[in-house]
Amino acid sequence: MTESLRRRAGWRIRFPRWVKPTIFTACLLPFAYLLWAAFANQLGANPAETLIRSTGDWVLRGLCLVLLLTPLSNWIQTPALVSLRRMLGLFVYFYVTLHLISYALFDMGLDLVAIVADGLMSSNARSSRWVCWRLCCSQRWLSHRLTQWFARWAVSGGSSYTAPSM
Amino acid sequence: MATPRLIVTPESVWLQRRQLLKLAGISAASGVGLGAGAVWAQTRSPQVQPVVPMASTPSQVRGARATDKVAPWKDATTYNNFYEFGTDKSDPYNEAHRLITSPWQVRVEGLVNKPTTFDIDDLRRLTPIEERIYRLRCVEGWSMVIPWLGYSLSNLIAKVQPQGSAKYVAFQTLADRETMPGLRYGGLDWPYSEGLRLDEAMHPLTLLTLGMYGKTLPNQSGAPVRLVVPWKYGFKSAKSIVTIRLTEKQPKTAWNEAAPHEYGFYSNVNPAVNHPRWSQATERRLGEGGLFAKRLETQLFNGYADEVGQLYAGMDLRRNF
Repeated sequence: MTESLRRRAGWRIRFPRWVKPTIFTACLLPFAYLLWAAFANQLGANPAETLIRSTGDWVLRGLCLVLLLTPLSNWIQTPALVSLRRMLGLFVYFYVTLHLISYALFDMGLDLVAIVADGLMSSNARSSRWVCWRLCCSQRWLSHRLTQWFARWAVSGGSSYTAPSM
Repeated sequence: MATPRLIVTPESVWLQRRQLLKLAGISAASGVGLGAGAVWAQTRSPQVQPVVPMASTPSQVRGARATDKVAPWKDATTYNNFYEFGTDKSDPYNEAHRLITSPWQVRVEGLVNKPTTFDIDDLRRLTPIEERIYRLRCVEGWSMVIPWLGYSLSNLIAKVQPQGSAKYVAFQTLADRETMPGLRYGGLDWPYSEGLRLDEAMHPLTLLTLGMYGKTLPNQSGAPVRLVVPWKYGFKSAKSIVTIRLTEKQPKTAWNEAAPHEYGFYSNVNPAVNHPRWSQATERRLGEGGLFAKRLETQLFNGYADEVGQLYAGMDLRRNF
């Protein structure tokens, strides 16, 4: 086997050392931007909403990406991709936490009664399955039931702040 | 050597890889497109705002001079709901420069003795322009305080002489596919329509609005002429109006048609009547306080109960939401 072929095969099984730190840093960029924007007063007319929305958007993007990793690694026959799943999953969790903190602290002012009441109301809302379908493309890919449920819940929680029609 | 598989992928997923490929392609292409669009929006020349100063005097109408802190012009012109230009709050600011506001005519018709087509200049001269400072409460749970310019809609309606059978006023706004990219959004039945009971339309606080902040209206705020009904949720205050029609039957209204159990015909601001999906008890006042500002308690009829409460005497406001 020639050296170049071996190198290519190696790339498929395990990424070079710099890949993970680079992706790790990239995953922190949205957080860094929001932090800067909050201090620089660049979050627009409704800063609380901007924080909640953009952290929520990143959760959904991350979720879709994580769920795509396994089928993608099979399809392009690059098992190394699966090794990114845990890190990306933890970043989703990180942005979920930021999302919930922004909501509880900046929108609700840590008013527990209002938070519980708001949660009850949005869980009462109509099914937002179609919203999820639109955002996550096709649920048929989402192989983990729990993650599916979470994605749906995440979208319905976020939908309180989207267009009134949704 | 067998590749270790952490999770067995279902056959159906495996078979969908072609679809996946196609969709990945579309996503990547649209991602690039969106990125380019965002860069373009930021780098092209500053927002075209063909606004000119407009002379006015402070309104003498009771309740028309709110003492709340007025929102900065920047917030009032960059954070808007005007779905004809898109559903994002920043879409109207980014897209509304396309709107052509001159020439502009408003047809006032229906159950009136003198149906009339008014040129926008006629409307600007019809009655002296007043400045009114109103609280604007959006159904989504935020509010701003805006200094509007205009006069009571009753002045215009009186000019066309309503007939005795007229009970309602319907408003229809512009729907122009050439200039309004948001019309592709299917959630509402275009053109946007709104309506009031005739006595609501004749109330002195109901403002036919031609300007704000001492100038003519910027496009994203509903240029060149809009309605402002300060005790109702913001979507009742139709923007860029082209037709006003007096009717005997309650007119269809856009949001009510789209989601009747969420948006009633009246849509009066009422902290005791929640939206089915969120509370209306409090609101976020934009333009003051920033990130750490506390939400304010929402007031019945947006704080205009003394002025408009008698319009709804004896009515069940829960049922007539």
